[in-house]
Amino acid sequence: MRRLIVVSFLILLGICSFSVLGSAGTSDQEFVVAITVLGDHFDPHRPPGNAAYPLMAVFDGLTRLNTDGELCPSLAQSWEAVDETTWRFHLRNDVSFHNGEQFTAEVVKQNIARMLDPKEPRASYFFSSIVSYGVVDDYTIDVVTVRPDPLMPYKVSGLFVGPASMVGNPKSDQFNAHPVGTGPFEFVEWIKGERIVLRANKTYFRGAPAFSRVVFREIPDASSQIAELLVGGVDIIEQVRSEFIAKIEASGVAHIAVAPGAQNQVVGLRPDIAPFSDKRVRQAVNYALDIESIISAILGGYAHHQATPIHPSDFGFNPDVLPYPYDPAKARELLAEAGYKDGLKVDFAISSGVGGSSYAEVAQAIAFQLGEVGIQASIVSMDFATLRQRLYTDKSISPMYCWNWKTWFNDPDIVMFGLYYSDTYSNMIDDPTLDAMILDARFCMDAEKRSALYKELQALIREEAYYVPLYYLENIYAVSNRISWTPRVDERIYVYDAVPAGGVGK
Amino acid sequence: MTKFVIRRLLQCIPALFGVVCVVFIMTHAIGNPIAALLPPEASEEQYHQLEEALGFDKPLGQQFIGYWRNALRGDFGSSYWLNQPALGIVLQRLPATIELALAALLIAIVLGIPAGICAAVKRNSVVSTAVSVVSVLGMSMPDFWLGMILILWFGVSLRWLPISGRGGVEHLVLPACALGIRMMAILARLMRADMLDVLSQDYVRTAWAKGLRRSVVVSKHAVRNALIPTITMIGLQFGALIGGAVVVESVFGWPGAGRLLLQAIERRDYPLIQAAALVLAIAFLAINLLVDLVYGFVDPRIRYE
Repeated sequence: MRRLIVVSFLILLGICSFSVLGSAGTSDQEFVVAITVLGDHFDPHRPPGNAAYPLMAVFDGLTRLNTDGELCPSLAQSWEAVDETTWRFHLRNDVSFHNGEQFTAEVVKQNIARMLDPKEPRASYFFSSIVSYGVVDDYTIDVVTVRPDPLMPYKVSGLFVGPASMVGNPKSDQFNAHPVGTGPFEFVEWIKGERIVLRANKTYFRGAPAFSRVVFREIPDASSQIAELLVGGVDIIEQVRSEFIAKIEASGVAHIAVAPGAQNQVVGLRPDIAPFSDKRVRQAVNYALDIESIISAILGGYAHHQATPIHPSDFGFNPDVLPYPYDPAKARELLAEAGYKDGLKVDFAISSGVGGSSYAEVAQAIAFQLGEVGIQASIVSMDFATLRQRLYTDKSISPMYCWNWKTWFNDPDIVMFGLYYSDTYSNMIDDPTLDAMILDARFCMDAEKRSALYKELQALIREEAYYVPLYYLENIYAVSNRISWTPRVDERIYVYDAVPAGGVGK
Repeated sequence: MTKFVIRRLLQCIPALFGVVCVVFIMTHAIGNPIAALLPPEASEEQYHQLEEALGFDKPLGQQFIGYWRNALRGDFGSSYWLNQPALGIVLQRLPATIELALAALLIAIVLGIPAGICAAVKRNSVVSTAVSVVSVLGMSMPDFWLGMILILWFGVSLRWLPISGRGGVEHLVLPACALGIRMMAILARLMRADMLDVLSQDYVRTAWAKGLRRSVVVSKHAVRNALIPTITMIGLQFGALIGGAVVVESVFGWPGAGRLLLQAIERRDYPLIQAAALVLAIAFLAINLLVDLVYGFVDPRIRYE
């Protein structure tokens, strides 16, 4: 009996002491990124989704966006619009793939063909406007769009290029087994659900990366990510909750980096059913909410109130369109005008998958403030898949719901299309004036005219109040003190940007 | 014995059929996954094309028959999310979950059973009280919370053990403890109760009267007889262990099938949910069959006819 206990204790002790020898830690040359869900593929031509960070490290696009979201040369040195529907890209002639193959216009052509292959469509909807493409010479390629597409140079920052030998191969899983690109890092291994390991491409055309190895580790739990950061197991974590900031700053091993995010947080008001089919009720909700207080009290100030889902840094931002002021008296007045003198009851659908970890508290504050003007909002919580299904396909979402939409390329096009354009299976807004203006702006190659259209659109969507634009969150990152890294406005972690703190630059 | 195993294996078939049916009906009852697959900019026409391609436009009964027709050929469909055969993905992630569950089981058995025996033999002693207190604590702590505490103590403060990921034995210790401690507590309590019962039996008194040593009385006469209900409990609790693995794998970033199942549910990836549920159900049935076979070794009176 006693012997049994002693043996069990020794087994555990043995395990523990063994582990002390092999405890985790990163070397000076290694850069470890924690992500909640590791990418699900390594195919350069499928929409990146969760795979974006590793894909951006292994592959290059024709163009790239810098930290501030500005368009910069990458595989293409320059580009111009030959006519309204043709973009010409002049490519670099000094680039080769990790496997030694040469990068040429012909390779780009094969990549576009694979991406748009109708038998196995992969491309994100960004590229749906491409109708043809042709090689002009070894290092020049034309991309022709069905209608003018002013954003094409931005979109091809996501046209990742693989070598001819893999792109031409019908076995589509090759990229998942061992991706080969031109990027700053080469593929080493991918242990599903656990880690992706990359090593530096010493001959990268923009200069060798500062770290010789990059590891992406899947750590789903936010607290575990912070624990790993504190013991030096990872170097960077994203989406840090504001209440952890003080602890991280005080730890002495990591610091906080903040950048304005790209997610527009809104409350949707269904204009197709009562009570929000009446514009006055929608406006009343806008007047009833004191969003500035919500931002300072719940979000620790790490968010920016906005008048429309267009950011101040976006193309065509209209500074004259201001958010609805907090005016509960006006809200009551509008409700009375609309026939809801005695108030109204409405369901408010929320999900933990939308709006970040503090959204439940934000929703409670919203419900409370609406209650003050006579709108009784009952919060209905559901999982993200259910919310999305009720919103997009079943159209059975409650009249009020939380939602968000990401801004791309510092341009209003995608967000306007996603939130307001009627001719999709998902939207419930049906406003022909808006539709016409959104399409006009989308196909307008004249920057000045396009900017004017968006300015006008912002005034219009503020007036119509189909959504309550709440805020866009600041992205909060925790970064190890041994790393120097600046967060990007597009919320992505581009590992090539990281350098050792006070160490060697690229 | 062989006959018994064959009969038990045959009994598994309706159970597995039931699992697949329930999972199929439950996933399809909540709707279709098209909203998760199609970008919102897609048109009505593209929506219907995808609906047709995935077969969601057909009546549920027809989808069900189609599913079984493929399943019987070993084709559980391709994961919508990962774009690969669903069964293959699950089998790839299964070893990690089995490793974790077995380690937790080992901790529960190695610590729980001796603790229970000890508490019964030293009745009304400090040891007995300590075992009772620890068992109550172990049963009341949610595994994710325990996981956090273990990470804070052994990972962050003491830095003895790695916090997350899968690697050597050291990576296994914390998640296995987080998962196994509740079961350890249950086994310790059960073992203590059964031992107390057995120790008061006549044949134990006879053994004492024969002048046998205490270790012989306890291990040969008492423990073997007290072990049967505990073994049953191990089989039953294995299901809870797999359920707990879903949470513990997330806390510790353990790349197992439990976390995969959770991610599949979040994404409405029906083929993956069905394959994962089926594989985990097979694991559960296999462990229970094993438990039934162990009875025979522990108690020779049990014969498999």
